[in-house]
Amino acid sequence: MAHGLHPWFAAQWVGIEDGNEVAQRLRVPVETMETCDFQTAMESYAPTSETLRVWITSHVPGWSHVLVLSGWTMPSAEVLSRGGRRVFEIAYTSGVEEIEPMGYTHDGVSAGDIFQADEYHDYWADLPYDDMMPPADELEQYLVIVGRITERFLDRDWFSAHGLLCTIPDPG
Amino acid sequence: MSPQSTPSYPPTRNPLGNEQNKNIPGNWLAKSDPLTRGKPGVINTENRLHFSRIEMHMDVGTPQEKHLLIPPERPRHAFSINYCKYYMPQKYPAPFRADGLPPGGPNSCDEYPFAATLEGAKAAKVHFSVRAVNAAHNSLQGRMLETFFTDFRAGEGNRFWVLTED
Repeated sequence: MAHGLHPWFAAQWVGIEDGNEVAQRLRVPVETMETCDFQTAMESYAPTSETLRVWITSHVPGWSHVLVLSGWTMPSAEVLSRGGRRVFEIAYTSGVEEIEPMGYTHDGVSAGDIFQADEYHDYWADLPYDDMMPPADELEQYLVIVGRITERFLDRDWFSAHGLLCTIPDPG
Repeated sequence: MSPQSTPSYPPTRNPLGNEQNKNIPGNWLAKSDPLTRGKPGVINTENRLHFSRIEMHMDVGTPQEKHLLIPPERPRHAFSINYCKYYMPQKYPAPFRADGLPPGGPNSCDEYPFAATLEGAKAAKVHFSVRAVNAAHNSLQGRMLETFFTDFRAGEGNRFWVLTED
């Protein structure tokens, strides 16, 4: 994973266009939010730090992207998807070669992984698969799938974008 | 090897009265044998395929007989199959699918000894454990293990023990 995201990449694609609304749903105090570029956000990248910190960027109309920079949990996909929204989630740890099947949550309810949702079958049906596929290759496929669904891949523009650096309060 | 001793035939979850303790290595406090890091790029996936992403045939020959199959045209159906869903289905939220399989999330099936070790599920036979844990916590544990490997330069063939703390 390039751009310093080794050894861990965790991200969500959220069916909400406004990054401020994403932050609001996650109860981020407005006064703590900071607009910054990717390089600045990555100064907060700390894979084993407890504090849940994310960088929220505009993805395409109708979608935001949430890059998780640190934290012992993930932002709540249930909260982010309430009201008929969709959330796709990828979590990959390269050193121990572990990747969770790409998560899909709709309208506050986890549907498990995306491969159980028939409506997305056409987005991945042509991609090769075998059970010894390296997790890194699986990650590449997930990025392709979510790129197809949202109609944008993580491209150079994303790495040069500005987004909201947010610290998410512990829900207690 | 009989079919019943392959990973696709997990030991029954029903008490039989003749259970024996497992012999699981890597416990520093118990002075047990160490764990050994296996070959990166190979060992993790091999170990995980001994308790997850495989077809499962459970309690064969009993009234509770159940099969979780992977249709050839849907190989990624395998993602949703693992031992945890058999041994602790209560850890997964309803609704279950028509074949009785919990859909997954928010938990994932974690194992010990670590998949990164030669003592993982592939070699362990029955001497390993699985537990459904919060997926984010599972990911965190993976990051911490990776940090340990990096900080202490624990590469392939290096041995180590685990000390658990509250």
